[in-house]
Amino acid sequence: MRTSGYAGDPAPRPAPAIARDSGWWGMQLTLWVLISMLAALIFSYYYLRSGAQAWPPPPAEDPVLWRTGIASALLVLSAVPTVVVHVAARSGRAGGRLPAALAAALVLGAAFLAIQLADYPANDIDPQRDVYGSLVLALAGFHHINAVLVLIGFAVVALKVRGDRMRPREQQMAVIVAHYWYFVVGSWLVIAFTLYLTPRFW
Amino acid sequence: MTLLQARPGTEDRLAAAWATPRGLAGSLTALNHKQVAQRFLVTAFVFFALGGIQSLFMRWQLGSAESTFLDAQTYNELFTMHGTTMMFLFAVPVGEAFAMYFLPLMLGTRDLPFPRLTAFGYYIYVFGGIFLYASFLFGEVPDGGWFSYVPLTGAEYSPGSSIDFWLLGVTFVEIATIGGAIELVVLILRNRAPGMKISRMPLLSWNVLVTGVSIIFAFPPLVVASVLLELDRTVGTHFYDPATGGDALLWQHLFWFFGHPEVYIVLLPGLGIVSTIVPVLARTRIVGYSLIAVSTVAIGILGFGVWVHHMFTTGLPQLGLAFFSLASLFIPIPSAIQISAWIATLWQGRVVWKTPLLYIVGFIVIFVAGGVTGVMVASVPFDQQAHDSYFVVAHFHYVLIGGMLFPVLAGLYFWLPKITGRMLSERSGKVSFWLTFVGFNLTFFPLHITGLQGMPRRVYTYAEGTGWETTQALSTIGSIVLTTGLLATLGNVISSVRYGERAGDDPWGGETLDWWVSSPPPAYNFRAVPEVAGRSPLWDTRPFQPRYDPSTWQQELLEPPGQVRQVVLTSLLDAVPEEVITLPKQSWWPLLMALFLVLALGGVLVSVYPLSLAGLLGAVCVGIAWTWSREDGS
Repeated sequence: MRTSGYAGDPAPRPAPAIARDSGWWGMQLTLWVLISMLAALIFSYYYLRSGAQAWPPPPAEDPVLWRTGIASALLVLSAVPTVVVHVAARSGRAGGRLPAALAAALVLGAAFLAIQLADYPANDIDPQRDVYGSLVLALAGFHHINAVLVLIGFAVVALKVRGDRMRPREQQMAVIVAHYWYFVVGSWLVIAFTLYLTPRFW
Repeated sequence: MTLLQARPGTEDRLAAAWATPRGLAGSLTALNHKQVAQRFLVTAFVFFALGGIQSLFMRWQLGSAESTFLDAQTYNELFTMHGTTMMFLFAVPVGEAFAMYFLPLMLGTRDLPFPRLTAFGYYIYVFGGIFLYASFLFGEVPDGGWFSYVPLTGAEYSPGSSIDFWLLGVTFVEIATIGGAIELVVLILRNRAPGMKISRMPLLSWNVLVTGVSIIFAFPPLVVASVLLELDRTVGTHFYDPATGGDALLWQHLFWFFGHPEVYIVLLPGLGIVSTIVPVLARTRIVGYSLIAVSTVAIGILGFGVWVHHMFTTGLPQLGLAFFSLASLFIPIPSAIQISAWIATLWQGRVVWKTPLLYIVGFIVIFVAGGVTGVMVASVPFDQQAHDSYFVVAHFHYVLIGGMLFPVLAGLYFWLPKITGRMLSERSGKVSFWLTFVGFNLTFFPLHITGLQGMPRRVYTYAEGTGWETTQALSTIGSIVLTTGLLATLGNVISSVRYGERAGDDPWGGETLDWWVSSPPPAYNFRAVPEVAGRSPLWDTRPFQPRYDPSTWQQELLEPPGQVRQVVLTSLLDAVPEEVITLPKQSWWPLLMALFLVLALGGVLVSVYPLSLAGLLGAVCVGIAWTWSREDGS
């Protein structure tokens, strides 16, 4: 039960539809942990890049862009159904567009991962040959592990929500999953820029 | 402070909801913050003892020139395990453990916000420690120092699995520490008693808040660094291999980006303990509450701008060195503000010379001495001379033992009566203090001189006639005195549990809410959650009208709908009661999650990757079950 009591307050503040409860705060702090990890990885990339003569080190060549361009577009597109999930979770209304949005996010995320996983061998990335390949393994690996975890999260929400009302705990879980996916989308833009674009102009 | 009285007959329902089931299963699935924090405390002190024993072996070896007590390899293993144990397995966990036990009590709430994460953090910490120490059984003890510099720790120069034990064990402990930090930050932000505005919360919570935020930003880079090194060692990547485009200095940057905030992560809970004990034993309110809180935040921020002062001798550009030297010279300012505030508080009050206060005063003396040598090594030219000498060893033991161990011992004498319900012996406590204080200074002060005379650190022996014999022998004698002092405290703790005087609820005339509940506290901490009206709830005598209508949240907390564990969430800054939520009561998932992660990383260690895969899959399944189930008994 939700309460907000101010004795003698003429207009008690209404409790928010979904409070920023402990879980929400826990997720925000977890995202900062992940952002800190991402920063360390990005720092490692540019630190090692600045010490190299040619980049990527020969015989590796500049990575091809069109596959990852499509994959990145799909990933950015997946933010749309995620927003739908987020809005639905905040209001607590399940049903309607929610199942379709969850399915769309899952499909787009899975398609992104499939294209990317095909992209690395096609670009002849070899973590054991040179440090560029090693960095691709670290940065993309970090990203894809998080992506897989959130896709599992979407599936759990899809399986858990029944009927046309979400219970508060389901609302909170869906909001957390949506926030996590925003991180996955945003961090990919940074990672893709770093791995795919910087070799072309630096 | 106001509260609603419980109606007779409702206590049992509350006690039943918060009771931990008996038996092995009950204790393995226990989630209550006091129970888990007690385990954390005991385990941390066991690791402290192990780390201490290792240092005694090293001191014996160094007590005389050309000693053959230890060989070079054993010495390397001991100093690696000593540093790793003290930093990762003792200093950080013990600070978090104190906070996990006492902050919910001081903030007036019933439990930590994520009880299952508390338990998971403990298991993963213990398994990490066991993992590290299991290396002794396999004869593959880590020997690359607690800083584990590459290329020494790369696959080429450390081909065995000793460094893998270090990397995987330390990664476990990092996960535990990060989990604990998230938990404590959310606790401080959302679980304070109604009315305990952020400007009213105890200073310890400011310190733990800054510690928690520092952990959240400082530990992940070390996780990244460790994973990259493990990839170099097992997969054959090239992050730290200069021959193929990697860079050995990358490790040092990532390690010290963690390593220097780590020093403050260790230190700040200690400073918080000091800020808690000083006003109580000076019988007056703390001087400069806001200044102390602001300087705590300043230490946390500055701590991220000084990591390169560990790398003054690595050949970085002069401009960078100048910047980091300047930043390092700023750090003493907020520290000095706090020390001035404590001295002013003691000056103003009527001081009660009990053992905790002796340890506090010892802390001030030692910490200031360590701070002064810190200013010296912050200067680049001096550091380049002293860097690899015993001077630095003396400096950081002054700062860490002075800044962290002494406050922790003060905290032990101060708070153990709350945990066990029995007082520690004052006489034995005073003897232990003087032995510890004299022993500490006898051990570490001569090391300054040894260092200035040119003795390099991290060497297992030295030639006769170097002139270092006398000071090294003094240090060894000092370490024996220091150990005697610590053993006196241990004996005091053990005998007090059985024979100690009954403590009562509030033996010190305390200021904060932890002294308002019985000793030991009931499982639910507070039957009626107090509404707080000032910084010193137990010292506030002003009549106070409750501001928040207690009929909604308080009634629900007092008479829960069934056997559920409830806490009230309050708003971020003003602590307005917002919501009553239920917490999990008991759970197997934390233990299972930790076991699957051990399986996953153990698979990496023995290079049986299907095992790792099974562990990861298991961990994902447990994670789903964890989020799926409420386990709150509703």
